[in-house]
Amino acid sequence: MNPKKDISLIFSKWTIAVYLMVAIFGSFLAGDVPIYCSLNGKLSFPLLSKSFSPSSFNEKYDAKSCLMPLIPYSPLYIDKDNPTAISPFGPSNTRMIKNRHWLGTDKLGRDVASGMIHGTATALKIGVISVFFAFIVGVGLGMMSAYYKDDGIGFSVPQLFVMIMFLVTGLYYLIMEWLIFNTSILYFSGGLLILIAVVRLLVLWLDKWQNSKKYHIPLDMLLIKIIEVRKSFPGIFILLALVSLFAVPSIWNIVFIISLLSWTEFARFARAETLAVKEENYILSVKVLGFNDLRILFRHILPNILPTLIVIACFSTGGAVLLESTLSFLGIGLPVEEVTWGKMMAEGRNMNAWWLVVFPGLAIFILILSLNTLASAFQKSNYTRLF
Amino acid sequence: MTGYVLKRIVLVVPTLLMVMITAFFLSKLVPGDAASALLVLQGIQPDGPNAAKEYERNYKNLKLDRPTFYFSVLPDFYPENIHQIASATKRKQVSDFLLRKFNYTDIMTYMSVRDQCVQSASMFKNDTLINENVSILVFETEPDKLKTAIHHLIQNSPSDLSLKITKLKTSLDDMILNKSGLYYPKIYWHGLNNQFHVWVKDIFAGNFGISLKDGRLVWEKIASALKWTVILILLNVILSTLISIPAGLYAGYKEKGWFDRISSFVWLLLYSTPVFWLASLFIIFCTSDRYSSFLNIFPVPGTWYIPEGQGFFRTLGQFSGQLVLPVICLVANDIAQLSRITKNNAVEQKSKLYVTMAKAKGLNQWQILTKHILPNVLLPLITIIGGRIPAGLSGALIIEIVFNIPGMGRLMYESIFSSDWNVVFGILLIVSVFTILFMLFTDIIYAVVNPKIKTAMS
Repeated sequence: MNPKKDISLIFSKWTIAVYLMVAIFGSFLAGDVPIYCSLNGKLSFPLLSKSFSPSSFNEKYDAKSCLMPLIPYSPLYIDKDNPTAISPFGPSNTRMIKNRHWLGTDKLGRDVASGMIHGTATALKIGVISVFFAFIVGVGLGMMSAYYKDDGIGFSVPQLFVMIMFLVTGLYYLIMEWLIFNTSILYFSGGLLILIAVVRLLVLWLDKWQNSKKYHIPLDMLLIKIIEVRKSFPGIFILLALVSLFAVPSIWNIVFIISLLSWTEFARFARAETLAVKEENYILSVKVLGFNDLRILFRHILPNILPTLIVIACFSTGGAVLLESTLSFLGIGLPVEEVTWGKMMAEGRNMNAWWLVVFPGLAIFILILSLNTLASAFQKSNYTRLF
Repeated sequence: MTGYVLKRIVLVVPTLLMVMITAFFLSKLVPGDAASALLVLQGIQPDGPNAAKEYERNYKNLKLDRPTFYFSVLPDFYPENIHQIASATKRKQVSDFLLRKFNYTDIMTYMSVRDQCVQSASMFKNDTLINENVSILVFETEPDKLKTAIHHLIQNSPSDLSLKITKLKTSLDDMILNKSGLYYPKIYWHGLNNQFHVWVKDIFAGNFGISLKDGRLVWEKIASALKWTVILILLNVILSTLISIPAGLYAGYKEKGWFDRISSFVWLLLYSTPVFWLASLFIIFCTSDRYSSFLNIFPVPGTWYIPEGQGFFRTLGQFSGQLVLPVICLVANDIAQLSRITKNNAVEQKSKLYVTMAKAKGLNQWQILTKHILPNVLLPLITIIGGRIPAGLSGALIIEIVFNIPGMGRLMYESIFSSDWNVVFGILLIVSVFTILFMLFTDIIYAVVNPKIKTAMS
C-alpha cells in the first residue's frame, strides 16, 4: 500500500506530532501565567521570562490587557468556587465562558483539561528519555555481543594482567569514592574516561606479543545470561520493588528504573539482527578491505538494523508511558506535585467520576495506539517510509 | 532427549542463583530497619526504657549482626564486619565516622573514652550547659561541632570531669590526624556464616521470615494470596486461548476477508488499551446506577471478607460473580497478542512448499488444514502460551488492586505501603522462581512435542 494513502499512518504520525507539541508548548495552552501583557503601555511576555509569579500578578498587571492561555488554570490551581469534582456537562460556577472547566474538575477543584495538558509533558518525558537511554545501552551491547561473539575479543596474559590490575582497582576506587564517600559524579565519569583511556593505551602497547595464547571474553554468553535474569523477574513486580527502594520520589528515578529494566529488550533485538546481518557479503567485503570494527559496526551494520530497532523503540515508548501511568495510578514513585494522567484516573476511580477516568485514559490510549500503529505501518512498508 | 532436558535444567541453576542474589541485595537496600520495625510490632515504644536492649535482641535474632555476603572488599580502615555493632545509634555513628575516612581503631578508642566522659558527666544533670554539650557529644558526628562542644566542656566543667574531657580531646584530635587520605582495598572472607547464606538456607527450608506488619508467617500470607492469583491467571489463559486461537486461525485462513479486517482492527484497539483504564471504566459505568441503570450488570468490587475456616470452594462460589469483570479485563488484554501471532503463523505456513505439495497430492482443503497446517501453527504457540502465564502475573497485579481481590499483587502493593519488606521480597522471589521454572517447563514440553527438535537430538 502506498504509505501516503495509509489512513492509519497519517493518523498516527499527526497524533504523535500533536502530543509532542502539547508536551513542549503546554504552558501556552494551559496555565495561569499570561502569554503577553501590557504594563504601563509596555508590552511584556511573562510566560517567557522566568521571574514571574502569579501572586504579584494582580498588583502589577491590568488583567484586561492580557492574553491568557486557552485554559486559564494551572494544573495545581485550586478553584475554590468549584470545590468538589464538577462534571464537564454540569453547571459550573465561573464568571466567564472562557473560565469554564471544559473537562470538569477533580475533588479539590483543579482543572482536568489543564492537568491533562501538563500530564502529557510528564508522560512523554519519561517515555522518551528512558527509551533513549535504554536504546543506547541495549543496542550498543547487543551489537557488540553479536559481532564479537564469545571469541572476538581476546587478550594475551600480560594484557589480561594489566587490565585486571587497572580496571579492578581503578573501578574500586571510583565507585567507592562516588557511592560511599559522596564525591561528585563528574569526578566519577571523568575518572572513568581516563581509566578506560589508560587501559586501552596499555593494552595496545602490550599488543606486541602477537603470537602468545589469547584468552577470550565470553561477551555473548554474559549478555545472554543477563537477559535471562532480567526475563525471570516479571515486569511490574520488579518495577514496584525497585521504585520502593527510593525514599524520595522523583521523575528521574522512574526514568532510571525503566531504562534499567528495558535495555535488555533492545539488546536482544539488536543482537539477533546483527547476527543476521553479520554474515552478509558486504560485511565480509568491508572486513576484507580492512576497515576497523567500530567503523563496520556503526557505518555498515547499524544503518541496516536501525529500522527494526526503531519499531522496537516505538513499541517500548508506548510501554514506558504505560508503565509510568500504571505507577502513578497505583500512587507509587512519582512526586505529589507532579501532575500525571494516572493520578487523575486513580482519583476518578475512587470518586466514581467518569470524566476523571475517561479523558486521561483516552489520552494514554490514543498515544499508545498511534505509537503502535506507526510502528506496525513502518514494519508493513518493509522499513522504507517512516514519515 | 534426556541430555537436552538435563542440560536445560543445569543451565537454570546459575540464573536462579543470580535472581536470588539480586533479590537479596535489593532487600538489603530498602530504607528502614527490620529490627526496629519488629520493635514496633512488639508494642515497645522506640524511646522507652528497655527499647535499646530489645532492639539488640531483635537484631541478633534476625541475624543482622552477621556479614552480608561471603566476602567483602572494603577500604583498609574499615572493620571486617560493621554489622557486629548491635546498638543502632552506635552503628550509625561509627559508619558516619568511617564515611569521614577515620580509622576504625581510633574511632573505637574515641567512643570508649567518650562513653566514660558521658558517664561521669551524668552527675551534673542540673547544669544545662554541660548537659547540652554532652548531648552534642552523644548524638553528633560532625568534627567541628564536637570540637566546640569539647571546648565548652573543658572551660565550664569541674576539674575532675575536665581532665577526662581533655583526654577525649586528644583522642578526637588523634582520630582526625590519622584520617586516611589514600587507602587500599582489603578483601575479607567471611565463610558460610553470613546473612545471604542463612537467608538462602531459610528459604530452601520454606522459612520466609515473619511479616513486619502483623507478625504472621510470610509464607502463610503469600500462600493464601497465591490461590486467587492462580485462579485469575488460569481462567485468563484458558479463556484467551479458547477465544484467540480459533479467531486467529480463521483470520489467517481467510486472509484479508471481512473477519480478518474487523478482528485485526479490534485487536489493535484492545492491544493499546491500558488494562487499568478498562477496569476503571467497567467499574464506573457497569457496576453502579449512577450513570445509566441499564449498564449496571456486574456486582460492585467487594471487600472480600472471608470467614475463618471457610472452605476454599465455598469462598470461590461466594465470590465467583466478582471474578467476572477482572477476568474479562485480563482476557481482553491478552487475546489481541495471541490471536495476532496465531494469524501470522497461519498465513506464513499457508505459503510453505509442503502445502503446495499436499495440494499436488490431491488432498482436499480440510485435510490440508487439519493434518498439515494446524500442527505447524499450534506448535510455536506452546511457547507463547507458556510465556503468557508468567506475564499474566503482571496484569493480574493491577487487576487485583483495582478490583480488591486478595491476591499476590494486592498483597505486594499493600506491603510496599506498610514497608513490610519481608513480604515484598518474598513475593518477588517466589514470582521470579515461578517464572524461571515455568519457562524451563515450557521449553522441555516444546522439545518433547516438536518432532523437529526430537529428530535433531537423536
